[in-house]
Amino acid sequence: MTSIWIAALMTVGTAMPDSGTIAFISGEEQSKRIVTVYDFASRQCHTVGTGSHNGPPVWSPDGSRIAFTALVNDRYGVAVVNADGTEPRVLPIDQDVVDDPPRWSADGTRIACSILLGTMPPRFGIAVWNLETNAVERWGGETYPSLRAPVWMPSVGLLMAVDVESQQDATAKTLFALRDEAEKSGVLIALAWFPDKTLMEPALVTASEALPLLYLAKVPSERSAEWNLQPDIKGRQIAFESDMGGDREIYVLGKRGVVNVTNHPAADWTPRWSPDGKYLAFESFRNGRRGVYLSLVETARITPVAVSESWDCWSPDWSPDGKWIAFVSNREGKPSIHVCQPEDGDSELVPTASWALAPAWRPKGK
Amino acid sequence: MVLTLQYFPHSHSTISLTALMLVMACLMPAHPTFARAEDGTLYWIWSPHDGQPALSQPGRSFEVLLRETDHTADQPVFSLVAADGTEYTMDSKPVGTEQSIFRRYACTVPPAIRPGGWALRVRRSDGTADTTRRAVWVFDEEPAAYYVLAHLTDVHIGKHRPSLPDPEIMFSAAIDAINSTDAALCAITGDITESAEPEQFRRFLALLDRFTIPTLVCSGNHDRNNLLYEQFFGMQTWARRFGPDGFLVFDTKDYVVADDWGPQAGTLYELRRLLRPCRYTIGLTHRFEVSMGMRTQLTLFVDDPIDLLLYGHTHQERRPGEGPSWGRSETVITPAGVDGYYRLIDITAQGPVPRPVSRVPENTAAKPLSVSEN
Repeated sequence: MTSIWIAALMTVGTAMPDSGTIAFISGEEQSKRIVTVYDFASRQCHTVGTGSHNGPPVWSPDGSRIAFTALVNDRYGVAVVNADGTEPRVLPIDQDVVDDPPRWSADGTRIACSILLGTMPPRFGIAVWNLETNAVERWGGETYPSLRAPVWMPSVGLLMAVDVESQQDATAKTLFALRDEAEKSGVLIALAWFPDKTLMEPALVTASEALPLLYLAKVPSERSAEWNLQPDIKGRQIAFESDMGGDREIYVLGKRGVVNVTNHPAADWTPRWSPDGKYLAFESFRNGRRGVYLSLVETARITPVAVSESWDCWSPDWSPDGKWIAFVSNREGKPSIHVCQPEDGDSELVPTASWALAPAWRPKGK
Repeated sequence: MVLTLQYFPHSHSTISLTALMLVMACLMPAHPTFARAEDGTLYWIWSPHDGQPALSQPGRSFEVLLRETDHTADQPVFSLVAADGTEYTMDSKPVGTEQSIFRRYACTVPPAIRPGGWALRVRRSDGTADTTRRAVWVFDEEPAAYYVLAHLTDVHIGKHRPSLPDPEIMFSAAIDAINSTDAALCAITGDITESAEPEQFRRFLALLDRFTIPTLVCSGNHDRNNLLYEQFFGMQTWARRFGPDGFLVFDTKDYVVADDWGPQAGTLYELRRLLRPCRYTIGLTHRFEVSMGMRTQLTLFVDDPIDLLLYGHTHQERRPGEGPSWGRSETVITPAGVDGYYRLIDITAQGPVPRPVSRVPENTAAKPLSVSEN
C-alpha cells in the first residue's frame, strides 16, 4: 500500500539538493521497517515498500524500480516495486532469502541475491532471477559449499585482464570456461564462506563456475575475511574490505594490483565509489566514533566528511552527479538521513520519518 | 523483603559464610527508598540499575546515564544508599556532551565504602530523587583470575503452563540455587517475560532483587513485542568490565538479528574496542541466527573474536552445528530457566569452562521437568 505524507519543511536549510530522490528504510522495529522515498524537489516522502521487515533498497540502473528483501506472506523474499510503489511483486523461489541487498544486472533484466540453503551447518547460495521470464536459477556451480552477497560486474573487462601462470592447469581451464560463460550471461562477484576457517574470500561467479578472485590476482587470502564487494561503475576496479592486514581495511583491486586505500588501525568498512571512480566514501572509527570519510583512491589521501565525537555517522551513498553524499546520523538521538557536499563539511537533516536507514540515491536513468 | 547486597569474594571455602550472611540479610529491612519510577520503569537513572549494574571499587569511578527532564540545568547529587537508608554522597562530574535526552556523569565510589551491592540515588536541587536498587556493586579488590559465572535464560515470567509450576516459582528456585553457589555474578539472557506485559516486567524485577550477586540482563524476542523493555531496562547494547574480563551485551530480537543497517553494528565495534585490553570477552545475547547481520558477525567473531557467547532461546542444550561457526569463539547455550535449568561456568586462567547444566531441586516442580517451546 502506498501512502503519502508531507515532510516537515521548516527544518530544511539552504544546503540541500533541489532535485533528486533517495530511497531508504523507515522504522525502528525491524518488523515495521518499510522502504520509503524522499523527493528533494517536492520535499515529499512516499512509502513504497511492501510486506514487512524491508531491507535496504536498491535502485534499478534506470531508476525506475526498487528491489529489497521483505517478509511477504510469511516468507522472506526479494520484492520489486516501481519507484512510486506501484506494481509490487515478490520474486518466486522456494528458499528464504538472506538480507544481503539484492543486486541488479547492468541492463536491469536480472536480480541476484543470497539465499539460505541450510542452517546446521549454515549454507548459502546465489539465486538469479530473470525479471522478463520470471525464471530463477542457482549460480556458482558446486565449487564452493557456501556463496553469498553477490554483486554484478558491470563489464567483463577486469575478468579478461586476469592472467594465470600456466595455461594448462585446472584453474586456467576453469577460467577460460568462466570467461566464455561470462561473455554470454554476465558475471557476478560474491563471497565464498568458510566460517570454520574464519575465511570469506571473493569469487568470480557465473551460472556454473566459480573461481577465487584474489588467487587469480595473486593475493594470498587464506586467513582473511573479505566483505562488501563494490565494483566501480565501469567494472574496472573492485573495492572491498578485508582483515588481511590484521585489522579491517578497504582495499582496491585494479590495474595496480591490490592496494590498501584507508590504512588505519581503527576499522574502516563499507566502501562506496563516487560516480567518477576517483573516490571511495567509507565508514571509519579512526576518530573514536563511526564517521564518514573519503579516500582519494589514486593517493589514498583521507578526508573527513561527517565526523563527530558525540554521535555516529554511517551508510554513505553518492548522488548520481557526485555532488552530494547522503548518510545516516544519530545526531538527533535517533538515526536520520543527512546530506552534505563532500568538500563542504556542513550537513543538513533530511526531514524524513524517524529511524531512517540505508539511504540509496536514485540513478539518473537513461 | 529485599535482601541486602553484601558481597564477599567467593571461593569454595566461603560458601558457609555467604550462606550465613544471606540469613542475616533476610532479617534486614528493605530499602526505604522508592526504586525506579513507581510503576517499575526507569526514571532519571537510565544506567546503572539492577539489570545493568556498575561493577566498581572504592576510589574508582563508574558512569551514570541520566535521562534529563526539566532539571537539565541542575548539578545532580549522586549517592550510594545502604539497606538501612544510610547515604554516602559521591563526587561526580559530567562526561562528554550528549546530543540526546541523556547525560553522562562519572561518579567516584567513596574510599571507605564497604563491599557489596548498593542502591544508587540521584537528588535534584528541589529535593526530588530517583533511586535504583542493586545498581552499584563495590568490590574491595579486583575480582580474582578465577571466578564462577552463572547463566540463566528464558524464565518467561507470565507464561501460562497448565499442570507445570509457575515460571515465578521456577525463577525463584533458580535464584535460590544460584545464590547458594559460589557464583560471582549471573547473566540472564532474555525472554525474561512471556509477552512483555508491564506486570510481567514488574514481577520479574521483584524476583530479580532477590539475587545476592550482580545480574546482567539482556532482552529476548518475547520481551520485545513492544518497546516496553527499554522503559524497564534502558539500553539494548552495552558493556561492562568485571575484573580482567569484559561482558558485551546485545539485542537479537528479530529474524535478521543484529542487522547491518541500524546503529547497533557501530556500537558493538565501539564497545568491543572500549573493552580492550581484557583477558576474555564474553558476549551475552538471547539468540544467534545464521541470518544475523554479517557486519556484527565480523565484529564479534572475526576481526576481534569474543571468547565466549552465551545465549538461550532454544530451550535446549547446544546441538551439533548450532551457533556461530566462526573459528575461535566458543558458544554455550543453556536450556530454559522456566524448566528449572541454569548453568555455572568456571572462568579460569586457562579459559571459560562450562559445567554441565544444573537444575533446581526436583521437589520444586509438581511434575517432572520438561522442555518447553521457545
